[in-house]
Order: sequence, then C-alpha cells, then structure tokens
Amino acid sequence: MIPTAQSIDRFATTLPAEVKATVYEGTKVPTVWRRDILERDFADPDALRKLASRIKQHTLDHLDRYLEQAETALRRRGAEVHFAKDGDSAKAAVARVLSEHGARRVVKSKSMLTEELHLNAYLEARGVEVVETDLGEFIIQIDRDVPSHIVKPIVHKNRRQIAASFEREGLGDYNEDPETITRRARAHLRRKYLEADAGMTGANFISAESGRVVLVTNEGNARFSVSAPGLHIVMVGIEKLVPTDRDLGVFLNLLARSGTGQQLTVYTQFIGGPRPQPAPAGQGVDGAEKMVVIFVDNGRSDILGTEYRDVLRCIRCGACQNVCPVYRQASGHAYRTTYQGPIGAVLSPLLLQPEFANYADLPKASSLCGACNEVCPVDIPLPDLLLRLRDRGFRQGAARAKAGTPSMAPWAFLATRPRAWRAAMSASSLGNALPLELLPFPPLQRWTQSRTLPEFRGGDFRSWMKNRSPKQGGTHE
Amino acid sequence: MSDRDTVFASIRSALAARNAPPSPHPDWDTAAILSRAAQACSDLESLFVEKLQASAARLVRGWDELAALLRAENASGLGFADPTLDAQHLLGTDFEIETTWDRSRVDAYAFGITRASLGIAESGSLMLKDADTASRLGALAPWVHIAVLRRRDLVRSLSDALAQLGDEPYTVWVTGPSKTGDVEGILIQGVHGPGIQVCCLVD
Amino acid sequence: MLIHDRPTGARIQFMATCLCDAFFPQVARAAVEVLEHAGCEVHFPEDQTCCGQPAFNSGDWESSRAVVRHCCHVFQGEDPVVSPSGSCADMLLHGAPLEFEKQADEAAVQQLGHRTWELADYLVHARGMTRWPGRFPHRVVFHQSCHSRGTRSGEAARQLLESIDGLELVALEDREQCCGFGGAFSVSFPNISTGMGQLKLEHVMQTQADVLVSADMGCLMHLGGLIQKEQRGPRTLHLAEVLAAALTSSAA
Repeated sequence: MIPTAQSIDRFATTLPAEVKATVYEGTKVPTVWRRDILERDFADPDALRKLASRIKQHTLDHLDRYLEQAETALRRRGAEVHFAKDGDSAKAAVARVLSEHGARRVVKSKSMLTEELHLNAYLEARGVEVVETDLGEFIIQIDRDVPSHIVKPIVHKNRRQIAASFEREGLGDYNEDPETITRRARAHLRRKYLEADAGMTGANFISAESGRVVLVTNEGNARFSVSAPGLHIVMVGIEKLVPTDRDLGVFLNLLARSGTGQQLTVYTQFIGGPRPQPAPAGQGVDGAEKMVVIFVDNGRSDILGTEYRDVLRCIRCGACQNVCPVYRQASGHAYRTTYQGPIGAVLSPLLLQPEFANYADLPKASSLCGACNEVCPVDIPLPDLLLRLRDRGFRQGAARAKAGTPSMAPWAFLATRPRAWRAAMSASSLGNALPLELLPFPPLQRWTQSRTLPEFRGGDFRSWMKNRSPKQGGTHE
Repeated sequence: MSDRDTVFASIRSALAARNAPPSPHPDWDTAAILSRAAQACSDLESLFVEKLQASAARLVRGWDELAALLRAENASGLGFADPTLDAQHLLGTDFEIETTWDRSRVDAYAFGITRASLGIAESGSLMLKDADTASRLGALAPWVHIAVLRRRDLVRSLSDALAQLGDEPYTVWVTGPSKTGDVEGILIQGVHGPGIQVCCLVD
Repeated sequence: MLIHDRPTGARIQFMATCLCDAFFPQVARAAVEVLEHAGCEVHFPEDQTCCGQPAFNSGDWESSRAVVRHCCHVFQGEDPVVSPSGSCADMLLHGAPLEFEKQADEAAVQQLGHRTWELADYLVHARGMTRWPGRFPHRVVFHQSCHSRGTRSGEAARQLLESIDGLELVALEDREQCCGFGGAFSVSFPNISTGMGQLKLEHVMQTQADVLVSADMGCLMHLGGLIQKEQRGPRTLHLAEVLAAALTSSAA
C-alpha cells in the first residue's frame, strides 16, 4: 500500500482481492450489457437520454405544480397523502400510520430513500418487525450490513459469505448454491408476506397526471408487498415525479436498460390507488385496501435552487456506479454513505449539508474521466458537479477535501509570470541530479512509489523553437 | 406550519431563486421511444413471441399444449384458475382446478391461470389488470403462472400499453419469470414469484 | 462535446502544454513538424505557461482563474489554438467556462475555448487530412484519453493511425476505461490511481502491441511511469511522435 491521506484510497487497499474481483465483475458486466442493448434497440440512444433529461428537468422546474397535481390525483384515487420535511418527520409519519392501523409487522421492498432515513432501526426500536424482502436487502439486513450499490446491494458479497449468514440465521445447513439460497429465502419470506400487516415500498416514478405509482423489480417481492398485506405505504422523494403517463414510456425504456442491461425488469407495476371495496364482481379480494403515500423532502428542495439542481434528475439506475473505475477499485462502502460512486459523491455531501465538511472528500474520489455522464440516462453532468463541489470544499477549507492534494498556489504564481516560468523550466533539469524519491515532499513520494518520474527537460522545446527556421512563416513570439 | 406548507414553501423559494427560465415540457414524438424491432415489425404476433421467449417466458398455443407443458413440468396437481376460463373442462380431468383462491393454502397450488389484458409485442410483456385478474396472489404465488392472452389483445409498444392503463387501481407488466442476480450476478429464476411464466395464446 | 463553427484556418497558435514544456520536448517538437506538414503556419507565443487545469481539478478555482486569464492574454486574436493534448483543449473549451460563470471576463474565456483544438481533431476536421503519409511498421494500441470523450478526437486519431502504411492498429479491451491519471488524483488517490493504471496496462499487454499511443502526455506519463517501474509492457509514444516518425520514413 502507498501511504495515502484519503480514506477512500485507503479503504481500497483493505479490500480482499476476492471482493475486488466480485465488485469488478458485478459492475463491468451490466456496463457492457447496457451499451449493447441500447445500441441494439435505438438508432440514437444519446437522443433518448437527452429527452429524458429535458422531461425531468422540466418537471423539477415546475415541481410545486406537479407535486400538487400528484397529491390531488392520489387523493382522488383514494390514497392518503402526507408530506415530510425531513427524515425525522418522515419516520414519525410512518410510525403514526402504522400505529393508526395497529400494524406491527411490515414487509419492505427495496427503497434507497428508507436507507437514507435509516428507517428500519427507527421502527425496530418502536417494536415494529421490519423485514426486507429483496434478496440482496434481506441478506444485508440479517448481516446488519448496509448496501454498497444502489441496484445491487450485495455486490460486495460472495456466495460463501451468504451461505454462512443463512446458516447462522437458522435458514438451513451451510449451502453456497445460489439456487438453494434463493429457494430458502423464498420459503422464509413467503410466510412473512402472508403474516404482514403492512407492505412498504418506494417508488421509481409517480405520474403527476394520474398519481400512478410505478415500481420496477425483478424478484416479485414488491408485487407480494402490495398484494398480501392490507396496508400499502409508499415512501417517495419529492423529485420522483414525471408529468404524464405517456412520459413514463421514456423512463421505462431507459431505466432497466441503464441499470441492468434489461429491456424491462420482470415486473413493472402501476399502482393507481387502493383496491376498491368491496371488490367488483369477478375480481379477487387481495391487494391493499388502504394506501398511504409519504412525500419526503429531506434536503432535496435545498438543492433545487442551486447550481447542483441537475442531480435531482437522478432515477437511481446505478449505471454511473457500474462504469466508474474508482468505484470498481474502492467498492461502495468506501464512500461511507447511502449513495456511492459518482452519484453518491455528488448527492451525499448535498443531502448531508450540515456535515458537508465530513463528506468533502467524496467529490475528490474521481479521475474526472466522464464515463458517468456518458452513461447517465438523464444526462446529469456529474464531473461538472464534482468539480463545483471541489471548489466549495476548497473555499470552505475542508480538511478532508484538501488532504493529499498539493497546494496549487506556488504553481499559479509561476504560471502567471512567464519570465519566472521560463527560468524555472530551464532550472528544472537540475532536479534530475536530485534523489527525488527521497525528498520529503509527499505528493512526489506518492507518485514515485508505483511510477517512475520522467526526466526533466524544461526549456528544450523552447530553444528548439527559437533556433530553427520555421516553415510556412511561423513564429516564435 | 405543517410539513406540507414547509415543503411547498421551500420548493417555491428555490424555484424563485433560480436564475434560468423554467424549461418547457419537450414536445416529443412517440416514435422516439419505439425500439428498432418494433419499428420494423409487420407482424405483431411474431415479434411478441420472439420477445416473450427472449424474456425466458414460455409460449403455448391453446389448452392442449398447456396441459402438455404442465404435465412435463410435474405441475399436474392442484391449480387455481380464473372462474371465467373454464379451465377444468379445457385441461381435462388429470388436473384439479379450484376457482376460488384460498390464501390460507398458498403453497398448495402448483399453478395459477389468469387472464392477461394485453400483450406488448416490443417487450414480450404480459399486462395484468385487476379488472381482468381473478386473484393477484393466484397470479403470483404458484411456481407456474399461465396468462391467457387473446391474439387480438396484442399491442405494438410500451407507449400503446401505457395509453391503456385507464382508471385501473393496479396493473402489472410481467416480462418473464421472477428472477434475481443478487448472488454473484448468477441468474436464478423463481425468487418470490413464478419460476415458470407461461403465456397461453388463444383466439 | 461537438463544437460547430470553430475557426479552421491554417495560421495557428501552438499551445505546447506544461508537461511537454517540462518533460516531453520531443512531443511538442513532433507536433510542430506534423502541423507544418499539414500546411500550417505555426506561431508559438513564448509567454505561454499552462492551461490552468491542475488547480481547476484540485478545487482551487481562484488560482486556476488567474492562470486561465493569463492564457487569454497570451493566446489573443481569432486564429485556432492547437494543442497536442485533449485534456488541455478540454480545459479551455469546457472547464474554464465553468469556473468563469458570472465572472466579468466570461466571454473572453469562452472565445478562447471556442477556437481551441486538440491536434488530431484539428488535422482531420479542420485541415481535412483523412490520411497520413509515410510508414510506421508497428503493432500499435491506442488509448483515448478521457478528456476527449464525446468529442471527435479519438475517432480522428484512429483514422490517422489506421491510414499509415505498415501500422497495425489493434483493439483494446475496455478501451473507454480511464487509465487512472486524473492530474492531482494520481497523487491524492495513489493506490486507486495505480490500480486503474495496472488494469489498463494488463489490457494493453493482452494486445501484444509493441507501441502504446495516446494523444495526452498525462496518461502516457502515468502509464509509461508504471511500465518503467514494473518493467513490463510496450514503449509509449504520443500520437504526434508516430505521425512525425511516419513522415521521416517517407522522406527517407
């Protein structure tokens, strides 16, 4: 390991080779699939993501109007609607709704918002049994771990670790066959669905026009969560709206292709309200008869008016995490927050504003290669936002932002004084005589531990330019 | 001030502070999101079948083929079926069909047969609406689910299907069997929902 | 980013870059020879220093703006500015306007960015050189720098390389992946940077190419330094060096 001042860089060196390989494969494969399916299906995939970007930006630019429209539509369809200004208020609202319905057992379908709020711990402390039903989230829950990826929460775990966890939790003898693991979870969670008093989900989108809540999943857990229990609670960020049902087509065409390289996920649900009571003739009696939607702000509206507003277009597909070479080296837990990778490096410091200084290193964890922007289905200029946050971290003097970055002031001093610059260039060849690797200048040491430094040849090009007879009348000015 | 008022006030003050004019809703053409395959397609049924099979769902044409598939999959015991489908009669006496879903015996059913409202050709998806579905759990809990789809109910695109959502409280597009790649990216079918998803295409 | 209506004239201002100024004179020299072969009248403003990118990427935008202002002062007029670096060109085209938002001299910065070209992009799309003469009998792998992502530079460089007699251009696995240089990133996140570089190097070595070519000395300093330290991998050359070498062989 090369001595390093940045915690994400240090974390990367602690990852076992096995985990690193799992993360690498788990992110590279969907990146390839994403590109292949978009190129297969559309003549101009780039135009599609630019369209999605414009629709989403328009929605955010009129968020008050669309939020009111969604609220009205949801109420008209018989759903109860609440608003929560922050995490505490959101958690209290959930607890209140559960207690009003006497609900003590909750089955939950994967939701990043509830991870952001640390909702499970809050509810468990109040005597509510909360069971995560997405296979990955279920494993996270029994391991008391946190997700390391937006779409693939256990991308950092291998089957042997999972088999050990299942054995520990009494879900059968040690068996690392992924099919056996899946069947055991199926049997265990099926009972939980049927016993649950409430199902809780997030929302991938809400159509403001119709109030329809759209949920995409592959496993079918979100279908169970809204079909078996009598109460359905939706926790959703205020930025998840799209204007119309028709607009949903743009996003549904992009979301699964971007995230997992699928055309669509297996299940795309459109929940237009609670099941009418009594059920019309010929229709079954399952499905929640009570639906509660909680719109959560928790820092989002504070971003809306700033130069970071583009980040609110995010539809949580995970494509930027999959393609990010830094994420692939460091894994999600290196970022210490609910959202990781490029989107997390922008979103987390903004959502955690009061503690910005604690997360000011996240925007530094990027080579600014721009791959994240290139794959983003809503064209978020992630590298630009990372750069703006670096500027902010520097101006605030955040130690975590500055750690390990050489001071630029001496360089800028020279670079604005051409004579001094030229003199320094000419003198630089003296550096070749020095044992540079031994100099007490940490950035230089951090370079030379794994790479050689080229020979200084400052001024050579300038003398060549000066002493030659240029063709085509060029000049040395 | 209620949370609702606080949230709206904060949004409105953010929007007022923005220095760029609000962007208009882009006027977009539905053709922009139509996949190449759907654009080129002149026969919806063949595209639907191709995409359905690509999603790992199975196709049978008519009830005899369905009965054969169920026998081959050892799913010839108890099944649940939509009462309007006359499944007992069509499948024959090897099968025991119940037409009322009994949630207390959720694992007793080897298969569930319900009606599909639409088929989406460009994705091979089956659209199930509450209005046409005898039981949500009957379409979800058994290992084998069969959606009976009439040929005339095929539409070309996702956009066409979105336009048909209507006033329905619950609709789901099903594209293949339930699956996960959570464990090391290895594809496993049949996580919480059906491990075998069948479309029974009828006239 | 595709920019339209950029000046395409043959009288150009050459931006050598600070890396070539300090470490790689042979690359700047090759670039000048290549530009002259393309019929350019090459002017070298002697007061040039750096594009401002190191401070920009480090978050020290005040220092960076001072250097960019110096750049605007040095590269005046309407002629194209051409640089053998996708990264420096992108700094002036895209980075500098970002840090000059709402600054009084925003327009001057945008004007400079608008006429700044990366070398291969300029040769192909401004000078219309779709083929390059001469011979370079080597198996070559090309690493496109990330700062030319989304521009026509990478495609232009490949087009020129492929047209050279005797040159075999081989495909690189995961070619869009960053090499891990990233300016100050390479020393503030040295382990991740090195890990990324090693991955790139493995993919490069799979190709069994004898020359690794790029159009950015940042990437090549990092990968070349790694190659030298680990004593494995091909030799590294800047695109301009390959083009200039091909010219020499055709003259011979």
